[in-house]
Amino acid sequence: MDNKFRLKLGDWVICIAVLLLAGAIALPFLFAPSGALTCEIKQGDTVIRTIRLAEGYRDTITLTNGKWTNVIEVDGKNVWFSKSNCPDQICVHAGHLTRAGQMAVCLPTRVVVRMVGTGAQVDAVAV
Amino acid sequence: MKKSKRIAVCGLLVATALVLSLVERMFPLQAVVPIPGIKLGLANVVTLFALTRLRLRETIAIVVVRVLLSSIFAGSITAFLFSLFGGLLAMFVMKALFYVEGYWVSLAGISVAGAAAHNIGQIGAAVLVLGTADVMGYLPLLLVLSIPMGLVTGSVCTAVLGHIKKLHFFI
Repeated sequence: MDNKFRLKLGDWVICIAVLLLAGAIALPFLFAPSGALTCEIKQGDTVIRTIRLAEGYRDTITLTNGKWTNVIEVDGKNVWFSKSNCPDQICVHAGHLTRAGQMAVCLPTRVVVRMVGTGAQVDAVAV
Repeated sequence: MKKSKRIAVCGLLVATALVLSLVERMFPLQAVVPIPGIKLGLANVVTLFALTRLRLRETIAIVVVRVLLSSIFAGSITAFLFSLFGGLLAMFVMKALFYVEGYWVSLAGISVAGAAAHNIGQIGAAVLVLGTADVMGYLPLLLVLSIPMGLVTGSVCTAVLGHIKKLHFFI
């Protein structure tokens, strides 16, 4: 075994293959339309709310699963997790969602907040 | 290697992997890149190392025990499933690549492929658990990041193997 750290041809091939795969998966998400926006809030398999986003619309949604609670706020075309008592706070760190295709996920509560454009259905391509 | 020594080595490697996953929790990577499951993947060093020195079934045991224990110490059932899927997929991909290791592929490339496979396995488990393909949106960024992380773990493993050779600790 070679103890020096040197990239061989196959290593480059692997890196390029990983990049290509990333690009192929990213494409359908990048071309998501950002015209009229809908915000879909799912908990597990059930759709809790589907909100047509428009300027001036405000809403606060509280979702719980066991001891975990999420507070999702909607203001105009911004949707964000404003509060969560889950340990990792990933949903809160995801910040404001403004474009179609963006989403924030909270695993402890199994909540998925997704921005949907009116055009092509993204997840049909992604599956 | 004697059987007792093999078992002891497996235990040592599990302990090392657990310490490494504790250490990598100190890097606040999730604050910089807000993606669930983003990690340096230091525990992959152990898997990679085990693949070079131990049998396949021993490596599988190390991966499963490491994932089980780290989710008992800190984590949830979902985190356990994600890590298990990711860890095992990464292990099998790296094992397959070891057959072409040497002239064409080095440890660095194998490690990158392992990191990428780990992410694919994790997201695959997330798709199954959450019942939605939406989480696939995280995958491109995770895959791109798996290249630098894989190179880091690969170089660490190369360095460790070089030193282990001098120690004559393993056969």
